[in-house]
Amino acid sequence: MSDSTTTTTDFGYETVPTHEKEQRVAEVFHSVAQKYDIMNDFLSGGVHRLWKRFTIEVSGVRAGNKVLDIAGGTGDLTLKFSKLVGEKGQVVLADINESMLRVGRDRLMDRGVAGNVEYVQANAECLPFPDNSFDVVTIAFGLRNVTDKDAALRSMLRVLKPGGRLLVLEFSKTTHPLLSKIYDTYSFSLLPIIGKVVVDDADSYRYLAESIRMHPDQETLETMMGEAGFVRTSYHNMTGGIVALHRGIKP
Amino acid sequence: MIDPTITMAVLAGIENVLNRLLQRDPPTLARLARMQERSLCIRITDLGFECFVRPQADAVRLLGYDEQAADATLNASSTALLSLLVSDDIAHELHRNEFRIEGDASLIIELQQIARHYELDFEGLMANVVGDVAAHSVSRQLEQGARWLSSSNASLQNAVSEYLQEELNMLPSANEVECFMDDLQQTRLDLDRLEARIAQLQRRFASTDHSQD
Repeated sequence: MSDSTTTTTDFGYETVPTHEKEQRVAEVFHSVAQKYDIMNDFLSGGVHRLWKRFTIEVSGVRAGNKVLDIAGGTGDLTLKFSKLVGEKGQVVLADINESMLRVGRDRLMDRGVAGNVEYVQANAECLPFPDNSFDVVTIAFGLRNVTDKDAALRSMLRVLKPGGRLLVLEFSKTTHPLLSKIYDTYSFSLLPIIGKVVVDDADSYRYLAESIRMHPDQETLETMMGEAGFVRTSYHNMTGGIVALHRGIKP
Repeated sequence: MIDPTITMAVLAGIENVLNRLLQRDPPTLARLARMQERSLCIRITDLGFECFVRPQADAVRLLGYDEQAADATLNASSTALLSLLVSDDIAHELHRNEFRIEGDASLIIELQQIARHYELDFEGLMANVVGDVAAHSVSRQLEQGARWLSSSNASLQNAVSEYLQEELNMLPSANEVECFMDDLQQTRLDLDRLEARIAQLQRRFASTDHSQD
């Protein structure tokens, strides 16, 4: 790896030194963790639940499977997965951010989810799991915050069992011109205001909007997954491409 | 292809209502639980929409996307499917040409039978919203209303038939019709016998004619 003090990366529309991004992202999520769920429902009008529902269906998770939910945050996917894998399966909820993980763990325990769920604070770029250990790896609305996305994809490939699948649920590029217009207005004008009013944190929500625009589009991400070593990659656009679900299989 | 967001919204809505209704009828839920690991694909041909029905231990899952092959597939147009939903005689509806079933048809019949035995616990559903006491009194009122409707319906039918038969003499009574039908049947039998006898006599005459020649 090249000298980290000289390389830079994006943080929303800002350019920051690579080593700083992780810390800046962490600050954002420490700040929003407590109200993350309410804001998700509020900002997406509840549609994020439908995106996650589709992700669960495409994951094809069955009883007895071992699932890794990276950047699982407040545990929406883990909650569903833990029901699907049953007693014999296992779900690992991993998040790099301690606050998010804490909120997720409390929430799941409050709902009586226990026994087949583990909580791990981990960086997606260097996952602390042995090779070939998971049937399904998901990362929902997390990849865009990862500093080195290629390293993260390679790391996910490593921990997957051969034949296992990776699902990346992430904001993407809309194809419809009118929808893009509405979406841009919404995310750059309305989103920071709502953030300011509801949780008194406009900056975090400005970062959210900017980081979405900086994230690779559908085709680029699919190519990146192919380069990392995934095969049979494909993606589904949702809500006109505002969100895309990418899928790749470990050969 | 329909945007998955729309498919998910529709299915999540239906699934939610369906499971809420099922929670109120444990016997149906138990019957469905026996069908775990089996799945039915419903394909609506004119809308290009398909969904998968998967019974679970304590609920039913509706999926828009399922890689596992379904045990049975029901192909139908949206209108045909609607008429199936409101029909009393599902078995009869299914035999019409508008439906195409692939795979294990017994699965569809089993599901149909489970649906037929389902009993809507209206009082329980309402109790969730307005409380036990109010729900009980409302449902008792409704039950009384329904009983009154069905009994007055029966007495109305009685009165109308009596009026037409006895007062106006426009229609014969059931006894009279029965006697008439018996007589008719007897006449028909007699006629048949007469016909057979004539045929027999004709054959006999014909044979004596031949022997004389």
